[in-house]
Amino acid sequence: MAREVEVRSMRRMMIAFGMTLLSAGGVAAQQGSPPIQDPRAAFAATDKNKDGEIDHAEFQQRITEVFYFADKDKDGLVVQGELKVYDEEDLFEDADKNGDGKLSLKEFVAARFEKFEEADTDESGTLSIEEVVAEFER
Amino acid sequence: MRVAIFRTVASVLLVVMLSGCAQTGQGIANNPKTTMGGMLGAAGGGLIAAAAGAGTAGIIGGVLLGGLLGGAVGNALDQRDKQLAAQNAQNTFEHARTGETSTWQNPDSGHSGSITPTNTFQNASGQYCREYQQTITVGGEKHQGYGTACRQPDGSWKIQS
Repeated sequence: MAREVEVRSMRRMMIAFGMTLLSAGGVAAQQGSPPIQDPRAAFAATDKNKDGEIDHAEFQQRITEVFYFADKDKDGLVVQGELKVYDEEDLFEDADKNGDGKLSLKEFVAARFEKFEEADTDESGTLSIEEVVAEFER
Repeated sequence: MRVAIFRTVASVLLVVMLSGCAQTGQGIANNPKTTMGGMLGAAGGGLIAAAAGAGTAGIIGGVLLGGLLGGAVGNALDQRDKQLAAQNAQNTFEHARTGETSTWQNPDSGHSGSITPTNTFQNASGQYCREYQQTITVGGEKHQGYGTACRQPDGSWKIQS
């Protein structure tokens, strides 16, 4: 039973991750331009140096911006519901390491980088377009 | 009168700490005079706004635009140009995504500009900061600048470098 719950939780986490690995569509409330829903467009927007790979620095820039736009009152913290990727309470709690009911940028970055490592199936330290699309389609 | 003096002094103190980076024509490395003008230009911008009797928005606009207000560019812009540029910058820092360019144009002066955030991060104090590139076109000549602005507790954005 516990194993079944764990598998369900993992599946939800992977779906959420696939949807929001790079996409600003992970932000529940949007400001400015429309969110990028297409993984290839999201990849292109994230791959700043256009070398065909997303490295750690590019990934961090991207998710920091996602966090910034999710943080409605700009107090440096987001609550559950502001980030679509953490709509599920258990996923939010997993990321909320200090258990204060809010995510700091540090907690969000740490949680996203765990997913980065999972998506990096060839363990190259960077994400290719294929790896990103695979996560979106998973 | 006291308020005007206070504003002027405050502007000077602020821009001594916060200066923008500017690049025009030949670039910083090849044009030390421009660099110096740019470094001091932010102060000039704040002072110009205060001397002109501008309100807080005008002073912030002068400071916000940073180095691009130094030298010829700053002198060429009128108060309305600076106000439009400052409003555009504030709105862009707050709402625009990285890579998204916002523009302003003053039909009366014929001057225009644009600003594009290039990175978003939190500084050591936890403030949101955004690196940016901006362009101001005066008399058909484009002047480019870059810098970093950080969000203040009151929601305004100030140039940090």
